[in-house]
Amino acid sequence: MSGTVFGSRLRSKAIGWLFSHPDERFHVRRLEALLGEDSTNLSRELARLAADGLLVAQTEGRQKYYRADARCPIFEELKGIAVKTTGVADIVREALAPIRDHIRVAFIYGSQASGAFDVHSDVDVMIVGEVGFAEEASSMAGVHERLRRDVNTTTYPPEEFRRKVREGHYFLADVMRGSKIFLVGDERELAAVAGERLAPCAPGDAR
Amino acid sequence: MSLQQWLANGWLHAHQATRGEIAERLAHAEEDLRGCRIAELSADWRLAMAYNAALQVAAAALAAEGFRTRGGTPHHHYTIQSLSLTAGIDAARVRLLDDIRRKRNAAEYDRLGSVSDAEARAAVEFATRLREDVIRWLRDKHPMLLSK
Repeated sequence: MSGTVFGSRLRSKAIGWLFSHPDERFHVRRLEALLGEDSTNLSRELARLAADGLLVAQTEGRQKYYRADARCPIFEELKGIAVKTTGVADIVREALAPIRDHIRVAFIYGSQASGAFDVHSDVDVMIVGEVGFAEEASSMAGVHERLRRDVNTTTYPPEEFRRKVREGHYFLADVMRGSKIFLVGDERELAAVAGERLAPCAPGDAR
Repeated sequence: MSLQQWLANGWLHAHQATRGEIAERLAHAEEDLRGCRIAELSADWRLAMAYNAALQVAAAALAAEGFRTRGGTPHHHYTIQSLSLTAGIDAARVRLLDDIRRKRNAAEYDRLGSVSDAEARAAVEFATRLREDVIRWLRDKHPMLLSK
């Protein structure tokens, strides 16, 4: 996913972080550390975003804090884009990159995918592939700290996944029905792994 | 950081372990691991039992070194992390146990059924090997605390 979805890389990172943590405020030095960006450029960008009405700036003593502005008319839309791109999904996607070849399909589900998340919400990740426990743990190490949220990962070998979906396993049935943000593969690949039949693509259908 | 520093930070109590306590913790772990072989149990439950077994083993190692965790602290966290300072368990394995803890918490509180059979199997293998390694370490480092 493009890291410049909001125009520039820096702007994308700032919007991505602040709109995927919309209940919290951050001072510039903290954001500098979280995003790995130079504070001068970051301060300038944050001031611009506040002037555009996307962020709220609050000054306390010598500290300036920024948070996503919930009154902004496109707040919900930005929140959704932020989670799907630079905020959460890209960080998890990046973490999975080294084991990408062993994964058939991976996605975020639960409150982060449905948009009903708050400051206490975990990130729920489902991986279907030939990924060992140690591989998964070492890929996801550091993601908890980077996102400042607990990340719950469940890994299924494709065979077990297919069997449990077929048997109507309550947890997987719930996940399959719910919203998803795909990290590897897509809805069609998921249906293929689960052994479900999808309507064939219409001629010229973009995949 | 050493366990003495953890003690100074108020994360641990000084503790005098007995042979009976170590034997009981290891037996408890063995019982849990035996329970994990019951195929009818859910994957959530098998992973939780493997986690408990690993935690007992880690607590046995910590007790043998003369410490126990304090109430009112994230004591599971300290028990897990102490494995590198007691039995010399490497960082990757400590991280794995922390991952098992996270899966167990998720399954226990709000993601019932979220553990896969493959994960439960891996957790049982992990805890079984950890128990063997810690017993070997106890035999070397604290032979007086091991039952004959």
